[in-house]
Amino acid sequence: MSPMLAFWQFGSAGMLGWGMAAALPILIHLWSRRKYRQERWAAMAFLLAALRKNARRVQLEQWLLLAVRTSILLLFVVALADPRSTLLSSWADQRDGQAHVILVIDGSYSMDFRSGDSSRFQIAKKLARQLVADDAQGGAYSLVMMGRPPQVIISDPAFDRDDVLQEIDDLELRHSGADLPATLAEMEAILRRSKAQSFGRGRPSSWHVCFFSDLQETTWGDVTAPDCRAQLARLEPLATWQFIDLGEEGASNLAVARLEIDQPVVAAGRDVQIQADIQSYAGEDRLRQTVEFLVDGARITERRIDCPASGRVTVSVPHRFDTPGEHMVEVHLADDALPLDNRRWLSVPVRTSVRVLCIGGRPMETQYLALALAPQKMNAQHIEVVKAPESRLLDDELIAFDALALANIGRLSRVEAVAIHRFVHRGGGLLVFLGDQVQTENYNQVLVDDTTLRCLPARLTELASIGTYAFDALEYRHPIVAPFRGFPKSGLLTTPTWEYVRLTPLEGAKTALSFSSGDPAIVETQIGRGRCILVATAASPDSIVRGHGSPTAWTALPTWPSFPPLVHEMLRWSLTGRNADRNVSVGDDLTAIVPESESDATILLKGPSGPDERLPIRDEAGERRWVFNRPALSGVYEARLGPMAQHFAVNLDPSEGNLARLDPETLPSQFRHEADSGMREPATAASHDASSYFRWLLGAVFVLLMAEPCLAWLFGRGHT
Amino acid sequence: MESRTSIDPQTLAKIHGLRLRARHIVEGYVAGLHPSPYQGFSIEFAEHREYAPGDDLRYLDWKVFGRSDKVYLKQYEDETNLICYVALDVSESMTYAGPTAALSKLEYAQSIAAGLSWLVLRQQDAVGLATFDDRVRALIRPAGNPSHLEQLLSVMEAVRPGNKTAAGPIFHELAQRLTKRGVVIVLSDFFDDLASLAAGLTHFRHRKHDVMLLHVLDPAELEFPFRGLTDFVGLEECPAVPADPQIIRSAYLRELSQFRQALERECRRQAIDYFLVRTDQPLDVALSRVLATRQRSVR
Repeated sequence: MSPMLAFWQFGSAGMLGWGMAAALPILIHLWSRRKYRQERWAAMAFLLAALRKNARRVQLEQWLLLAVRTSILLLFVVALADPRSTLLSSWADQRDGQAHVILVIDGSYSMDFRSGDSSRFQIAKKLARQLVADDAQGGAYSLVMMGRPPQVIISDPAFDRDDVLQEIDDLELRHSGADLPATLAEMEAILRRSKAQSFGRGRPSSWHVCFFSDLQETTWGDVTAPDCRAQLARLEPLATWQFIDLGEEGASNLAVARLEIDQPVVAAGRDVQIQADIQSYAGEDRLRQTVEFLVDGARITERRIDCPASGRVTVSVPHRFDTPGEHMVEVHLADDALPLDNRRWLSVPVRTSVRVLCIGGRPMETQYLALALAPQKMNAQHIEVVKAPESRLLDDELIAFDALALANIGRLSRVEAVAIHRFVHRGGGLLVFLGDQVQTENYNQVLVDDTTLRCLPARLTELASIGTYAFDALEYRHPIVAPFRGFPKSGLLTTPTWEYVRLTPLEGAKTALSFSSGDPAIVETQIGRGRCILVATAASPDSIVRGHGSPTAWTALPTWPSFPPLVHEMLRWSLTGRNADRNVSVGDDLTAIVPESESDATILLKGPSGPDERLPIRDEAGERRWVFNRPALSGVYEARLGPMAQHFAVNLDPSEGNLARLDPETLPSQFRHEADSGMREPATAASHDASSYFRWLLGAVFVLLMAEPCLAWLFGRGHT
Repeated sequence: MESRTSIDPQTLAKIHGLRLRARHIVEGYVAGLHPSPYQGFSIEFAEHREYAPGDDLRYLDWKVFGRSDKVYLKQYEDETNLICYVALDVSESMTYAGPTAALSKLEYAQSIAAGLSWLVLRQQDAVGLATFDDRVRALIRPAGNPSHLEQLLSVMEAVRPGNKTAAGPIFHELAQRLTKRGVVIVLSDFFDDLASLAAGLTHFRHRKHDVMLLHVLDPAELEFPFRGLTDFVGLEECPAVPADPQIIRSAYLRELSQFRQALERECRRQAIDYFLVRTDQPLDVALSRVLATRQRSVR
């Protein structure tokens, strides 16, 4: 095939046979020359002079008319043949025999950006479809969608063009980012398998990779990383490369980057603050942007904000959930070119109250703690404290509580440790106060050393030497003590302590508060979805320093004014993971524990699109749980189990909304090698569809049809 | 005006014989005009002379006879009749008749010549005739007797068109041979070299002849109305030329127009009367223009 023909492909190539009809005007011209009628003529001198002086012009005009008439027929036939340009025409020359083309389409949600009627993703699909449909040589195709993780749609070379086109049509944009290294790894696997094996019609003889992407820096930034460079270097000799750039410079976007409530566990009837962060990825200020807040689908308020260029604005609105139960908060921005990140959801299971189980090593051990958590004088008890003996730790009813507070428990059995671990792992909050009964070896053994049951953030060592210690807030960096900043008279720093257990924080643990000796006083860490906070001293004055004169309490903390706010902050912090299962990101698993009381074997999950899905309930580590793996779409999911419904919010990663592009010059050589022929503006590329050529050609035919009689008149009768 | 339409070429073409055609022309023309065009050829009164037997009684001055009983004749300035020379082109190109023409250029020119001759002879002036193509085919000396017309008509009818036009040399020859001063009326399509033609006309003028050119052209030659590819077969030994008339029409008309304008300019320069005569025109129109011009020039 000649390069010229290779550039064009025809939907109805058979129609080109009618191109022979273009010879008709020439044949008619030649034939008519033989059909001259004779005329006797006297004024020959003038006729000969006219012919002599105008011979060249007459001939030129005749040729021009002939060319116009021939072109009319020729263009009409070509239009009927449905011409299409082969976007990747350069490959036609490179192909020698069977080709294996790997189509890699960027499925990150930035591809939903719309500069016209179509999104980048739709244009990418259209171009990929055109590439396959116009392939007259019948190549084999693989299809990969870049995502997090990448999705290999067609792994082995597919020779059936219709199948490939169907798969391209069925592609749906993911609401996630894209993992370039993982995508390259998948491609490498496909290429190496294709080169090593034979498929169906034999082993391909050439390999080509074609990327359709917006070259977004978030996705392609990794391309300059050493690992990625090495990957690309390995891939370069395996195939020829093509990059279809669908992005554009200067694209701007606003996104809802965060949506939270200031309380980790919300109790009905209590005022909360709903906070939303609006992130600008625009190069210019965006003024008077409307931010809508909705609860359970009903608009509660609207705010107008001025968003500075590349800045972030936090919008906070007060709200009170009057009824306990499942609630869904939603924030809306006015639609822009990338609408996907203009919405964000927050699932808020509202309780009647926050339930805390306090277990003490002695009957009065939790008295101060319970009083601090739920002062009796408060009118609305949004915290329900249940004081119980150690035996309650064996009870599976722990699931009914949001937090568990242990105070001066002497030793814990393995069974108890299992129950505690499971509780925290599920998202419960654990507060552990030490005291004079605590056997440090036992704690270390069952709650630290056994990694499968580890619950504590620090190893317990020995008792500190007796002395008077104050607290050090460590510059109020930690959220537990941060509220004390600016309130030196709150008493936190003046709280005297005479005895404590020295703690050695484990890896990942954070010290919120320390003693003036430098030893940690409060250490916390995340365990599973829950959080454990360990206090090095006692929660009651009942722990006594013995052996040195008169008995002295370990600490004055339980009776100190700083104790109630400190306990509340610890409880709040320990519950931050309480609803973590309800609010996840795209790509994270959706999961929930099913109470033992429910006997159903499946739950019904309703997503933001598509039909309801039945999910099995499985036993995992002694608990019944359902899991929905890696939801690909953002939105609200509802899990229904009998009459009980739980709402889940799946949100996308707002960083993908940053549409900044990678400089094409930083692309590796195999991409830049093809950039000249492959990189096109999306509008240009999109315009290369068959119908437009068809219309242009018919338009040209129409123009020529109009021009022909004018020219004939001008060259003939028009010369009067 | 009805009489004029009766001598249109279509009607004339139905009449056979030049004599009948000439009669038709003259009668139709005379009936349609007042006063008589004869005066165009009349000569100014000069003096009286005594009657001699054989003189035309029409010129008797009856008033003198009544006063003196003497018979005198009116004596005019030129005692002899005016001499009119009719030069008729009988070359092959004159035989052309276009698709819509009733008469060929030659037939039309013959009719004009015959009509003029008749009119001239009727007023007892002398008329001569020369037919020519590339040489003088016939030359009849001018005479004023009515029987002379028969001779003129028979010569014109006997014409056998043949060769190319070579008017320039012929005009030289005629200028040499027509020694007596008179009015030279040339009927031709003048498809000839303009310089040679101009030189021949100059010779006429040099001999003090009054010259009138009647440029006889077929409507097809003036309008070039052909359509479709045509092989133009040249008269006068020209080769056949294939052409698309619609494409070449404008250029051809431009060439013809330039030639006519040049010829007219030359005529104006030499004080020669030029008339374009289309063969689809009524013949009296052509005659009127000739005679009216002559009348103006005599006065």
